[in-house]
Formats: sequence, structure tokens, C-alpha cells
Amino acid sequence: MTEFRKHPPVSDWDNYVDFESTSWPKKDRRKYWIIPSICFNCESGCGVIAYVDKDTLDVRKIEGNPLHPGSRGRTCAKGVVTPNQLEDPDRILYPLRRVGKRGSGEWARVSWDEVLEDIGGRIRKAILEDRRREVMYHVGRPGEDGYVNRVLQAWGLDGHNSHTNVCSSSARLAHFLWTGADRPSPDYANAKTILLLSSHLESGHYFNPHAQRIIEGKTKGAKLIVMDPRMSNTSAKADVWMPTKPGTEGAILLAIGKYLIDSGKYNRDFVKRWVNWDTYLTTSRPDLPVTFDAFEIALKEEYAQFTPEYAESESGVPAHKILEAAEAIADAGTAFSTHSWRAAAAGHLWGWQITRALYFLVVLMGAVGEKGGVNLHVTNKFVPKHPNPPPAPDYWNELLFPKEFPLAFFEMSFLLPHFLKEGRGKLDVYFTRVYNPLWTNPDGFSWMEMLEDESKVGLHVALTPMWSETAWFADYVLPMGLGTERHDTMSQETHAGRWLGFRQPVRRVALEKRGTPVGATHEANPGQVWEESEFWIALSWKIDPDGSLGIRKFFESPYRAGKQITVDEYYGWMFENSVPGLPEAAKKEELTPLQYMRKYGVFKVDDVAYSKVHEQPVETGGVEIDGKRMTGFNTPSRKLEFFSPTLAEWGWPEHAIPRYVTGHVYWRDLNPAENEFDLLPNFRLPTLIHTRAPVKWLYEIAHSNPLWIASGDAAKLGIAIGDLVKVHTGIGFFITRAWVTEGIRPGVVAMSHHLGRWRLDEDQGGARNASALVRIARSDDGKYEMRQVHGTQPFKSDDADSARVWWTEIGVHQNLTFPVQPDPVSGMHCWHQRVRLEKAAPDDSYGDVMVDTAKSHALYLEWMAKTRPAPGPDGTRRPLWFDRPLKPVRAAYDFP
Amino acid sequence: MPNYGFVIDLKKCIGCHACTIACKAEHDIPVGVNRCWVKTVEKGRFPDAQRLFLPVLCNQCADAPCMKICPTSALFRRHDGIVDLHGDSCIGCKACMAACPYDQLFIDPNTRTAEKCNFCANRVENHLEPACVSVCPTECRIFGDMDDPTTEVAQIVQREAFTVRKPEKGTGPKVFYLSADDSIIQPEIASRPFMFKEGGVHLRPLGSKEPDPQSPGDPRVDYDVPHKKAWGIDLVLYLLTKGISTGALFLGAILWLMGDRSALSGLAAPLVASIFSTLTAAVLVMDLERPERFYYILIRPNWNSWMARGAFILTAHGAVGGLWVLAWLLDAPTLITGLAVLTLPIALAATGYTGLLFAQGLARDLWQGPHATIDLIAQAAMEGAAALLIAALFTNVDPWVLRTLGWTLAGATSLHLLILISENLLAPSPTLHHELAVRAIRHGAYARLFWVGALGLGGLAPLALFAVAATTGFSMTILIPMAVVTLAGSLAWEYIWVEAGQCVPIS
Repeated sequence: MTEFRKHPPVSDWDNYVDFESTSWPKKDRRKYWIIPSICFNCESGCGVIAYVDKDTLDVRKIEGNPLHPGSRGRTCAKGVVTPNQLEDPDRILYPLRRVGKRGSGEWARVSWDEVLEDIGGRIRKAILEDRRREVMYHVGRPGEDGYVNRVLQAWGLDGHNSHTNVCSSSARLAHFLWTGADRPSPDYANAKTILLLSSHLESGHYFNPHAQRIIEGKTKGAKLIVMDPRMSNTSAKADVWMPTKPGTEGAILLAIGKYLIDSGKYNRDFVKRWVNWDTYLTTSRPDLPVTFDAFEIALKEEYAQFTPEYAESESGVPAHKILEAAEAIADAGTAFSTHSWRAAAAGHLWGWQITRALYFLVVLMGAVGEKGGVNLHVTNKFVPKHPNPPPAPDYWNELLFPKEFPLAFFEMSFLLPHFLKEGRGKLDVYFTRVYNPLWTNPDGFSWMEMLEDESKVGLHVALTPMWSETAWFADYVLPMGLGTERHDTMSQETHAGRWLGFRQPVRRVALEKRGTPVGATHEANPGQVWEESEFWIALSWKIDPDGSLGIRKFFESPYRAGKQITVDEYYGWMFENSVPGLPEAAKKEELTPLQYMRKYGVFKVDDVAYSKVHEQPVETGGVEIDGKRMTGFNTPSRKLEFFSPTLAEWGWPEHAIPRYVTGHVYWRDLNPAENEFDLLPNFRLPTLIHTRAPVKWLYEIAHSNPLWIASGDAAKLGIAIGDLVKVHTGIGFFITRAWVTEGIRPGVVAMSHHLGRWRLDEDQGGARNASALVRIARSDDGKYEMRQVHGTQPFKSDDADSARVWWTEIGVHQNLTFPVQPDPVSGMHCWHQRVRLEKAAPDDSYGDVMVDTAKSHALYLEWMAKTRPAPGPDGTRRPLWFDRPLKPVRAAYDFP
Repeated sequence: MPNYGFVIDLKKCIGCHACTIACKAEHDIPVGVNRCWVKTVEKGRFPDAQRLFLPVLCNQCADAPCMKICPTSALFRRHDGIVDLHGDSCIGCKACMAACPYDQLFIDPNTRTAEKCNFCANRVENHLEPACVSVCPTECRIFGDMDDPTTEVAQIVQREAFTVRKPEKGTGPKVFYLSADDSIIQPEIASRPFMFKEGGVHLRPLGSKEPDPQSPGDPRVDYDVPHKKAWGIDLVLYLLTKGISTGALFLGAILWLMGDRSALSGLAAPLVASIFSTLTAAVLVMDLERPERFYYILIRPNWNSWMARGAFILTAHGAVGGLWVLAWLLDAPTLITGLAVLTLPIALAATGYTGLLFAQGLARDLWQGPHATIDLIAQAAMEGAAALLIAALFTNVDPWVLRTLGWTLAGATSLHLLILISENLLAPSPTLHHELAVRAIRHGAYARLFWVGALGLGGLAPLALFAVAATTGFSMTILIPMAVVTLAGSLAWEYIWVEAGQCVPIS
């Protein structure tokens, strides 16, 4: 029997001979180096191997790295298309500087020296003039762990802004309030019951590694329960699909909790040991003695209302299905895995309470840190220390964490245009990095206004491999490497185990294997594409050329005193000094740790991590459980906080325990007579990743985002499949096509998050195979109208496929019409929209968008009125125990 | 010798399209075509709606219709059972596309030759699993030697209930599906909308079922790849020109043997035949994606292929016609008599082989059945008679010749009309595929052309004119319009035959 391998064996990687498939069955042999890297097309950090042609140095194809413990040699569609990105006819190969007015679309090529001089000088000036808060770095998905944070810290900045508040803040806050760690790490592969409020079989945070393990668990017999108003691919694989009325998930979850408590099928011992029930009793139920029995009584009273019938009346999911799920969870014991990341948590005001209710079930089952249960990400994610850590910033940047949002889990990024409009500050140097707020965030036209206004944003630098709507409004567009053109380290909590991945520029590695020394990655990259690791080092030296600002020293070699650090030295130092086990593993193979990582692309730190860190004994600190001192959780009480004293003390006592609270779009408030619907605008597809990969093979599969509408609803409106529909939001409307389906709950309409990209110039400013050419008209009072001139069209380029583009309609940019809706606690943008539908009028055309930014600012103010600003009980801006990127020094927490 | 096959466990497939893209990357497949893909179907009423996924790839059939029809043996079977393709031998005739019941062949726009999935034979020879297997996040695809009882594939096929695509075609498919629902594995069941949930629909088969808004839970395809049909207008013209050519020569031979010595049977018939057989050859070569390779069909023929056989028959037919013209010019009536005798079987073969060629187009149920060959002969007689009647304008002929041609035309038309009516209006459809094609002919995309063109112009009108001629005498003022409407009606039916034959989704 021939044994088939999934991948060429590692022993062949330096000299792999493959048959050329395009001339097959002729047996043309081609020689490759197989060089490992890490995918850059989402946040999973899957391991890939690149086949680098020894003659041309081209990347022939990308496959999964079999050595990678998270992705196990497999990838999703998005990983495989990396060569599409490398060869994309519309990628940016040279640094560009705008020539005309910002946003006018006139560009000139510029040298990297000029770029570094100009930006470096400008930042230096800001630092010297103590205008550090005017320098900001705004990142989409980082795709790396800690590198840029360290750079900003070295510059002394509290200037890190992220995308997290349009993504996952609510779910993170919920996990954090419970455990002190903001992400769960479910052990799907060993679970007996899996309950998902996220569509991890098609998108999810770690789609490929998680989908593998969910199906693995299911194949081994696990029951899969999915809550989603829409029939996602994940719902399609569910044993129990619970299509909830959006925002009512909490009612079901608490009904399940009540079932577990009432039936005594919960893990009483675990809850007794690890939940801060005593705090709850003393604070909320002074009438009861502080005993666990009393807590049980209190719990039963607290959630008495949540019968399955009540949950059905709220959610529309039949009581018997809720009971079926509850029983499956009870049967699973500690082998109960759950996940909630975006979905309902990201959709609704108080969405974090939905995730809290979900995690309540994990706690009730005692599934925390158990095999088949839910680990904390901190036990499954490994972040090595970077060399020479700079000190924490010594000030507080209110543009990032304004006083209205003391508990916001991440920076209030999507409110930036409104903050600047209100005069809360201005930006002198604003970096956007693989981040496209104008397109991704709600209220994009306010972003456009902000970016165009040079009095608000002095210099906008877009670091990006390709054009984006946002980059069009930059002063510099600086091309940065794709997944096989850059160095980064990455680790994620993909499963029960820890790993460290190493992204590398594969052509550079190949050149070095060939014996051609490479000074910097851009020498090996196409055109003048840099990698960010080297960019930040070079820029830091420009900011502080003589070291007088105390910045340069953080970018000097740990091996060659006073010399600029190289990426080899940077990552080499990390691998030598902060990855346990790596130096030894390398030594065994007579390699340096850096050589080891270059060869394998990944290092497995631990195998199985059901470490239950909370139970590990400690001498001091920690928490005393049953007379033993243990590490406990990272919460103030070191226990799982059912009752959050933090919420109670920071102005939200009514939310101190997991509760069912209806959100900003509640089905009972919608008026069917007015054709009001709940728009679910944030679902995702397995083949696309927001704005990151607009390439031919992916767009061929999915290229537009029609409005999903239930058959009955469509019939009432007289809408047939394919008809144009006008969707009115709080600040405007858009026109799109209807996808009439049985796969969605009546009363809900849904649209994929990814599509509807546009550009303002026929030939540049966006991927021509993935964007529509649009015209934008605006009035003096802030009304914007966008109309598509044409959708995708075939075009001529070096790639013959450009002329074969057959898709035309390219989706509708719905996010432009969404007002900002910050959750007053988590800071998360609440994505769901209350919309009114009507059939489109004859003069409406596909892709039309109208927005009134004056209205959007008014709605911003309405939402701001929901906040309960700092200071907290100790007079600070934010609870000290709360995480945040670039956590400043303690003094900065005090109001001046 | 190994015999490779696939098991695909649909319980594990999550419809992520990683296989589709890995295949594109492995083989550098251009935009618009696919070796493998994942079709999705939605069915059922909320909240019991379902979405089904079906990854499809080549079945490497044990009895591969693509190999049988390939005129140049570009498609061949490897020692391990994989059906592979020599692009260098392919002339781009698309017959394999017409033959494959699974829609697995296409013309690669880069090479302009056929392409298909070959289980990644290039990887298999390196002991690597096919790209779609290696990439699959959920490991729903299992590859191995079906003849080796120790492999997982062999054991699953032994042990579990599986489904294959279209077992009724008898091709011996080697991709086995676990837990396949009829509504996705049978391509005709689900309706096909004019857009998908994630994008536009390109090259939608015209005979697809349309979604019924009154019946929302019916199975409906919500994602699929573009489907290009094999043959188009060139093949329609081929049917017409070849029908005229063979019909004219055959009828010329009959008339000559009946004693006509006019220029009509002596020169016009072979001349018409020669001109139209040249046109036939021209449209056939034009239809090739690699026309410069047309002669491969003669120098490396696959004798199982009716396309290759037909090429030789057509060559013989052309040669007889040419010699006949020469014999007339040399004034050699005895030679013409000999050629006329030879013409009878050759022209008949050149007419009828097309029925067998189309029947080798196993993908298309409309093209199956012996009536097709009979109908082709009837149409050739109609077209040949019509052509000779028009030619008679330019020659002096005896009235009995005109009468004979008129009767022939009417007789052939009656037979053709009977076949059209019986096959499209009366006989029950043997398969759902056939039914969809016939539905498209009767009430769908081809209805107007069928009722007005094929039945009206091609059947009732000539018969009505014949009735007038039979009562008032066979004058050219009636015979010429009769010939013209016959040709127009024939062309209409030939168009429908080619197009409607291919209008049903087959994957």
C-alpha cells in the first residue's frame, strides 16, 4: 500500500522537487525551497509553508504547515490565496505621497528616505514640544504580538488605537469580568456538548483551527448547539439550531442556567469553591446568611422568572428546544465548550451581558480549565518577552479612553471623528495600519470628513499592502509586506496547548539559503515594499538620531553596542531568551534558536494545557480555598465573579450579576406596520476577511452582500428575490438586492459584513476586481450621496485573469449608513440597526447610499448620554485591574 | 495496480471552499473555471431550514464517457485508474464536456484545451494526497486505493451506505459520498435562482427550475460555479450544412439511379454536397478551441469515438461528392453510376453517425435514444430535397423529378414532425433531466422557436404547401417557398436540439 502524506516531509524542504502541474502529464520537474511562515489573512495565526521556486524565487503556492499545532497542516481558503495577493495587479509597490488636496487622488512616488525624514522629524518635533498625544497608531488586526506596542512605548506614547471596539469588546469584557482573562479557549475537540453564539464553522476568531476541532468533537459524538437568528453554515451543522429573536439570547441562557440550578445538575462543588457568591450575598442579599445554601436559594429567586416558557416568549425558540439544550449541557459535565466573540455580543446594547450569561453556564458546569471545557486564553496563548522593555507611558490619552467610558474594554476608536469634531484634541501624525476605518467602522463619512480636515489630522500615514478607502485619504501610502514578506511572532489560544509562530519573508530566507546576503527585507520584496518591523526601527532612529531623546537605545542591537538592531537580532534575542524550551530544542539539532524558527516556522511550547492554573498552589497572594492557598483567577477577588463589585462600584450596580437586558433593537419595539426590521449587519463569510484580501479567487466565490429577508416578510412587502430594496437607518439609507430565504428569522434582515468595497478613481485606489467605481456628492450641511458608476468590470493587466472577471455587482457599503452606537459600559459599537424597509423607487439604483452626518453626530450625542463617566470609587479613570494596551503608569489614572 | 477513489463525508463538510481554492492554487486554474468546487443548497421551512454542501470533483469513472468520445485519445486512463489528459493532444472539440454527466470538464482559457480534475496525479506520484484533501480543515475527504482492503477508503465503501452522483449513467464513479441528500446530489431537483446569496449567477443553465415564490421551502441552489455548455451555434450550423450535403448527394444518387440524367442530379447534387461538406468541415474546425490541430483527429484517431469515426465518414462523403463533380465534368456517366451506388451507404452513414455522436454525449438525456438517428435522416432528406429544389431553379429538370423531390420532402417532413410531436409532446420523459429539457422546449426558453419555427415552419408550413402543390401541380412558385420554409424550420429545430439538449444543470 502506498502511504500518502499530506505534505512533503521536512527533510525534503530544502530541496523539494515537484512536478509542474500546469504542464502535466509531462513530467517537468521544478525545484523548491519550502519555507514556513504564518498566514496574515486573519488573526488565527495558522502555519503555512511557501513553495519558493529556486529559479525564479516566486512563491508558487501556499499550503498548511504540518508542524503547526494550531492549524495542523490545514488552511482555509483565505490562506491559500496569498500568491493572489503577491501578484495582485492593484497592489502598491512603491511609497506614494499625495500631491493635490488630501483625497483628490493625485499621487507621486517618493523615496523611503524622504518618508522616514519627514515622518521621523515630525514625530520628533511633537515629542520635543510635548505634543505626544497628537501621535497615534491605529491598527486593524495586528497579526503580531507586542512589537508595535513596544515601539510606541519606547516613544513614550499612550498612542495605541485599535479596531477592537467594532469587533469583540463586549465579549471580551464579559469574559474579563468573570475570569480576569478576556478570551475563552474552548477545548472543542474533547467536548461532549458545544454551545456556540459565534459562527466558528465559517468565520469565528480562529476559524480554521476551531472549525477543525468543532467537527472533530462532533465526529466523536459531541452535540452542537448554535444560537443564531440566521442560518449560518455553523447553524447548518448544528444538532440544535436556536434561531433567536436577536438580543434575547440571554433569556435562553439564563433559562438553561435556571434548569441546571433547579435540577441540581450543576457543579455545586466547583461553584461553591470558585465563585464569589459571598460577595453577592453580602452586597445584594443582606437578608440571607452568608452560606452556600442561602446562595442557592438566592440564585433560584434571582432567576425564577426564567422558565423555558418565558424564554420561549422572549426568544421565539420553543421551550422544548431550550430544554433539549439544557439537558445536553447537563449531560456534558465539565466537557462543555462554548464560545461567543462577535455575533450577539457585538450586536446589541448590553451585549456583554449575553456573553456573561453564557459564561455563567460554563461556571455552573465547572468546565473552567477542564478537558473538553473552556480554558482561559492566558493558559493557551504564549507571548514571549521582547528585548529591552521600555517603561509605561506617563500620561493618559483621552482620545483613546475618554472619561465617559471608564470600563471600555478597548480604545473608543470608532468615535474618533466625533471626538475631534467636539474639539477634544487633534492629531499631528496619524498612522493607520492594515486598518480601513472609513469602510469598516460605522459612520464612514464622518471619518472621511475627519481625514480630509488638515486642521484635525496633520499627517495621515497609511501602512498597507494594498489600496483601501482610507488610504485614499492619506498623505503617505506606504506599502508593507504581505504574509510571506515580513517578520512577526504570533500565538493564539487555538486549542488546549501553546505555540509560538514565526512569520518570515520567504524570498529573503530563500536568498539567504542561496548565499545572497540580504541587509533588509525590502531588498528581497517586490518593488519597494518594506516590512513594518524594519520600518519602525528605521523610523525610531530618525526620531532620535543621536539618542538624546532616550528612544534610540530601545532600537539598538543587544549584541553590537550602539548599532541599529536588525530583525535577525530582534527575533533572535526573543527566541534565545524568552521562549522556554526553544534554545534546548534548537541545540539538539545544532541550530541557533533563530535558525530553528526559520526552519520550522513554529515552536510548540506545551502540549496539553488543562493546567487549571487557578488551582495551582502559591505561597503568598492568590486565594484561600478550603484551607489551601491557590493562584485563583485574575479578578480582584481571585475568584470567578458572578457578582462584579467593579460594575457595582463604577456606576452599574443594576448590572452587577448576569442579567437579561433587552438591547437597543428589541423586537417588541419594532413596528411591523411601518415595516421596521432588526438588521443584523455583522455576519461573515468563510472566504473573506473584512477588507484584507480582495483577490480574484476569493471574489469569484463571494462578491456581493444581498439583504437576507424571510420569505413571509418579503411577500408582505411585495419583494421578490433580486428586487432592489431601500433600507432606511437612523442617519440615511442604502439600496441593495433582496435574498429571500427561509434561513432567517422573520422580522430580522441580515447582510454580510464584508462586501461593498469602492474606489473613487477608475484605475487606482482599490482592487479593480473587488470594488465599484463610485461618485460621492456632498452638500454644505453634511449630507452625502454615493452612487455606483459601475461595478466590477474586466480589465487588462499582466494577469490574464483580470480580463476574465465576470462578476459585476460587488456589494453595498451598508456601514456608511450606521450611526455610532457605543455600549456605555464595554464601549463596543452595537452593530444591529433598527431599519425601515421599502421597495426601491424607479430612480434608486443598486449601491446608492445617502447619509446625513449632522444626524449621525446628534445620535452620537444621544448615545453618549447613556454613559456614566469616571471617576470611579477611588477617583481614577479606570479600574486598575482592567487590562488595556500600553497601560500607563499609576499616576496617569488620576485626574489632574 | 492501485485504483484510486475518494470518500467525502458530508457530515463533516462545512462549505468553506478551501478545497476549491487549494485546487486553483495547485493547478493555477484561471478565473471562471473550476476542477472542483462546493455547491450549496438550501431547503426546508424556517426554523427547520437546512443548508447542504456538496463538494464535487471528477469521478474518474471506471467506464469514462469522456475517454470514449475524445476523438484524439487526449483523455487516457493511467495505470492507477485516474483519467488524465494530454493537453498536447487535445484539439478543443469539447466533446468530452458534452459526454461527462458530471460537468467536470472545461476549456482552460490559458491553454485553450480541455482540463479536468485528475486527483492531483502530479502529487499522487510524489506520494502526496490531492491538494483538496490535504487542505480540508475538517478532513471530510479521504483519498486512497479502493482495491486495497487495508485503506480507509476501501473499508468505508465496504461498510457504509454511500451515494454516488448519477449511478444511472452506469459510468462507475469513484467518488463516494456519505450522507448525501437527494436534493443536492441530483442536480435537477433544486431550483436555481438568478442570483446567489453571496454573488451573481454566471452562465445559469437556461432550463433550470426557477424558484417558486409560492413554495418557499423547496430545495434551491444558493451557491454554484458558472457552467459553460460544450456546444453552440457552430454545431447547429454543422447539423444544417451536413444535412444539406448528405441529403442532396443521397437524393441525387437516387434520382440518377432512377434514370435522371439532368444537370440536377448529375452536377448540382454533388456540387451542393461538396460545397456544404466543405462548409461542414469549416464550421467544425472553427468550433475547435485549437483549430490549428484539426488534423490530429485524422492522424491519431480514437476509434471508439463517433467524432473520430465521423471525421473519416465525412471525409469519404466529401471525396465521393468531389469525384462525382469531376466525373460529370469528364462526362463519365458510368463512373457517376458507380459513385451513386457508393453514395447510398456513405451519405447515409454521414447522416446517421451524428445521432451516435450525440448519444455519446452522455451528459444530455435529450440526445439519447434511436429516434435521434432516424430524425437526422429525415431532416437530411428534407434539407437535401429543399436544396435540390432550389438548385432546380437553375437547371432544366423533368416534372417527375420535381414531383419526386416534393414527395420526398413531404414524406421526410411528416416523419420529422411525427418524431418531434411524439418526443416532445406525447412521450413521457424517462428522466427528470429529460423532462426539464422538454419543458424548456415546450414552455420555456425555446418555446417560441419550437412552436413557430420547428413545428410551424419546419413541419406544418411545408406540408400545407405540399398539399397545395399536390392538388394544383408541382410548380416552382410553390416548391421554392416550401424549400425555404423547410430549411428555416430545420435550422430552428437543430438550434433547439443542440441548445435545449444542454440547458439542464448537470452538477
